Amino acid sequence: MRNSKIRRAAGLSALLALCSLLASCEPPAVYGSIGYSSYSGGGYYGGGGMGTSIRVGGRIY
Amino acid sequence: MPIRTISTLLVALLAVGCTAITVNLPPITETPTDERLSGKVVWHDLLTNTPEASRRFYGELFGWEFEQPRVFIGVGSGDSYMLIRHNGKLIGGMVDSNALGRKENISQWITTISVPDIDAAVERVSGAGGKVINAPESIGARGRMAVVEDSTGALFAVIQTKGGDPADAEPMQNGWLWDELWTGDVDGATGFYQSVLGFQHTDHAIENKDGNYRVLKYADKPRAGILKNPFEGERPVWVNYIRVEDPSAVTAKVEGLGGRVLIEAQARPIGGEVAFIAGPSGAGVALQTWPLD
Repeated sequence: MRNSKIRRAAGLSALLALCSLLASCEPPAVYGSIGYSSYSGGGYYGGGGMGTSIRVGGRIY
Repeated sequence: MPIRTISTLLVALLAVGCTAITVNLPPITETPTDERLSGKVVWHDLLTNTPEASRRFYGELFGWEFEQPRVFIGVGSGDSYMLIRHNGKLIGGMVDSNALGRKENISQWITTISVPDIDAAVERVSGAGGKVINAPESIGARGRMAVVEDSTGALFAVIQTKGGDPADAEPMQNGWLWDELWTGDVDGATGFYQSVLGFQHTDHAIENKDGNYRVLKYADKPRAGILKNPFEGERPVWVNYIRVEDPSAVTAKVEGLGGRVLIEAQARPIGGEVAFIAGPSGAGVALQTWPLD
């Protein structure tokens, strides 16, 4: 009976240790390395819109 | 399940290491083509730190629908990555950037360009003056993807799809129409995309005083444009255009949905209208009427 309890406790400890090791794995995240927003600069957030003096492009054909 | 069995499974998992944890995203097209269209912008992902507000914004403005992938994507909670549909077709994805654990607001649209051999393409990035932000990585049924920065600092992604790229088709109303790089160094950027992705280019003297409009082509097919950055001092960026019927009607709703109108609807010298808006997270997107008349 005592041996059985010891084996059970040892098994649980091993299980917890393995879970802990697996939890330390960093899941891959394709975008996780991106460090900035293309739109966070001053220009786009400068007060009150850009009006119509700026010309953008777009599809031509 | 007995503890011994569980332990054995965990030991087996540990033995194969962290590689057992993979991102698994569905293909970009539900109709496999088995054909790769080099140089084509095949996907757009929105990184947003305001996913709920962004869903409402794009849903109300363009009728887009958001759904969870039917497969376990491998990271985050169930709604960390949502697929975007328009008229029943997959047109993009939305990433909850809060799940990436970044403190900065990295909200933006990511332009993804198809390549036939992602390792070879990424290998050329550094030599052409760019930077590899995230090396090629398998993302399950979708294929392999990498995130890079061009020689002028604009961020974009490349993908080698597993089941092929979506076939070319007439752009849908309220769907993607065009993609364009805004950079201060048009010639430098052109050299980069020629070296890395094999684009050719043609210039068109049709726009405005800021110079020609450059079109990047692959196998004689126009795939994207390059424009001298209209926002002086702003960092280079890939800008994505949505085909709309009436840009003014769209911009009129933007602020009520938590976005901003960055450039009001304007007539283009060549015909048609364009506007530029930002969603609730700050990610920008352009609007354009099509065809030009």
